[in-house]
Amino acid sequence: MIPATDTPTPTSPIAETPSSTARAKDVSGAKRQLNLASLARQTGAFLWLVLLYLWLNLPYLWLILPYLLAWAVPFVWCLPQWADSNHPQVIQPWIPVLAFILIASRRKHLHALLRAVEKIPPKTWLERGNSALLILGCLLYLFAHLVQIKGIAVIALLLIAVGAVHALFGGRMIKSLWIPIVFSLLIIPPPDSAVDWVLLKFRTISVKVAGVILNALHTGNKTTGWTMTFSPSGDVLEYPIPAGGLGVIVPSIILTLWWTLLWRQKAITCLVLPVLSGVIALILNILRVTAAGFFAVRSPKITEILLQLNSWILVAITLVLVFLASKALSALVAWSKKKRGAKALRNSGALFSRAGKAFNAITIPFDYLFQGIGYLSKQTRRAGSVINLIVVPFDYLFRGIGYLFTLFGRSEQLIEKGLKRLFPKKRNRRR
Amino acid sequence: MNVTPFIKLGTLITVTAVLGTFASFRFKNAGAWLPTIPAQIGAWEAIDYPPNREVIRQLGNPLAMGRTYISPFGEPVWVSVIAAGAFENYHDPTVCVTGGGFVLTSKKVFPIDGSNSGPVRAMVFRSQQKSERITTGDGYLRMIMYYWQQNRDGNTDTEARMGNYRDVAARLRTGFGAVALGKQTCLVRVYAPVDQDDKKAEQTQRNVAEISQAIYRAMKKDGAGL
Repeated sequence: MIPATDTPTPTSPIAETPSSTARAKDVSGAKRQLNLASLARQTGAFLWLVLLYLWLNLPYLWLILPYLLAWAVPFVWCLPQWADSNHPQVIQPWIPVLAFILIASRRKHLHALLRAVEKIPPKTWLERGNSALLILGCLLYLFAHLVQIKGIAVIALLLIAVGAVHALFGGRMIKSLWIPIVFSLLIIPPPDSAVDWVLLKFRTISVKVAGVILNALHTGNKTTGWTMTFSPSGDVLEYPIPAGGLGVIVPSIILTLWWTLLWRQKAITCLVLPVLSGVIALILNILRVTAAGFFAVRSPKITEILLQLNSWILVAITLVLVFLASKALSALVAWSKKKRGAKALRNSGALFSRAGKAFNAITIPFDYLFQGIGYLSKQTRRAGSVINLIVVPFDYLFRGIGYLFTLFGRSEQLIEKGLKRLFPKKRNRRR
Repeated sequence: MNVTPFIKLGTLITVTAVLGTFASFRFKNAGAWLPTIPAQIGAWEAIDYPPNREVIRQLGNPLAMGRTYISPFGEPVWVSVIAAGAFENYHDPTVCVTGGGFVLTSKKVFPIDGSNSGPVRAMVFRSQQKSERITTGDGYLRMIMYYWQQNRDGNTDTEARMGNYRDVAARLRTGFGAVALGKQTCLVRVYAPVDQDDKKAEQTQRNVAEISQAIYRAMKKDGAGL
């Protein structure tokens, strides 16, 4: 006999049977599916409308989105170098952003130009603008994909961008955008073999210079290529590729150049400051490599930290130093423009010459004295090395200042000539 | 603002970008053919000798295989076959072997299997430093290598493609073949060290030539789907 509890009640026949429960679940699932499908359809339609609205009202999207799509493959080709924080090309992916800021800083001028073009349409074929450059860029892009050369692909992409601007806004716009366009050329990756060769040379030279300095600091060593063998311990330190310092020098130069262009400095400043930046970065890197060598036999952990130091840290220090140097230079220039300043500069040649001689005279006895202390203290090795570390740089500093002053003294006539050109006498001006 | 010029230019850039991406996919397809090579060539027995993982990584992880053929007299001949898709797979022996401590001493290009067959590049390398194993002669280790790139249709080529700008013409030929014609290519290296008793390297060259011809024929057969 079947128990009463197992029989379905007439009031709820569907809910009680297992088959009917499944059916009910199916129905709710289908409803949910239906709802999801309609929701997806509605969302799709909405997104489509948004996209359509944007494309119709922001026509630049018609160009920017396909252009970004075109960058996809060349970007992947360039990524190994661009993603390495110690590679000299690490700055390249930031070039478009920097160029865009340069363009944005000229926006008022560009707006005025657009209005002027609308009022008086250009007459010549070149000024009116055409798609020739863009088509050339597209063909070059396809060629770059056939030969798989990233340099050509990036040149093609630049041509496409410039070609699009030329086709839409004409030649006058290109003319007024020449600085950002020329700056954008820095994104073109040089041939890998050339980069490898330069990296190798810089690494070897940096290690060689560090070896000479360390020998002067009484840390005996012998360099072969990028390896340094210390004596008498015989420990070997192999410097990695970033020790060449190009990962610091190149970004520093480019960022300084960009800074001078952004603030529309004179051509001479745009030339001098990046060179100064390169020199400062080079010196900083040699200091790093030397310090790494110095600590290699004393505290290898410090050496490891120094050699694995992210290049951006040194770039930041370089930029701060360049900024300070530029401030000092501009103050010097401002001072020299005053009458008193000009006169003082004119007299500085002889002053430098005398000071140089004096410094050299002081340095020689000091040099012998310091060296003597260094040799004496070698009995207690650690104390000796500390004294050397403190004393020898001072010795070189004195010598360096002495040489610099002598050099300035000898170039007295040259300074005088330059000053005469810079500040001609009043009667000459009247003439 | 008039949208039409934007649409026109955008369409042109889109078509170019899509064609460029398509070219990259075709290159991937070019490196999808790795033929089967015989386990035995005449009296030569083969044992698998997979290429070094680090080397494969440097080449961009292509499909690759390696075998060592041993003659009944115990003479070895090494064979490596690498499916060549993108140009990063195309490492030339004149660069890689010389980077590994060897000097290229001679080079010659000639047909691999009779006058109607494709060319092969034969090279002789000498070690930069004297080897302790070589007790006779000048004490340097020597190696003979045959190198060629073989398409599925049996055509071969020996030009380097490693230099970006230097080898641009050869790269264009390969690129057009891979993208427009769908050609699939493999890089083949057959090499053997010169035994110190084989003073004129005649026996070594015979061994390398024999294995190279067999590999060439096997790849041609595999490419034709036979």
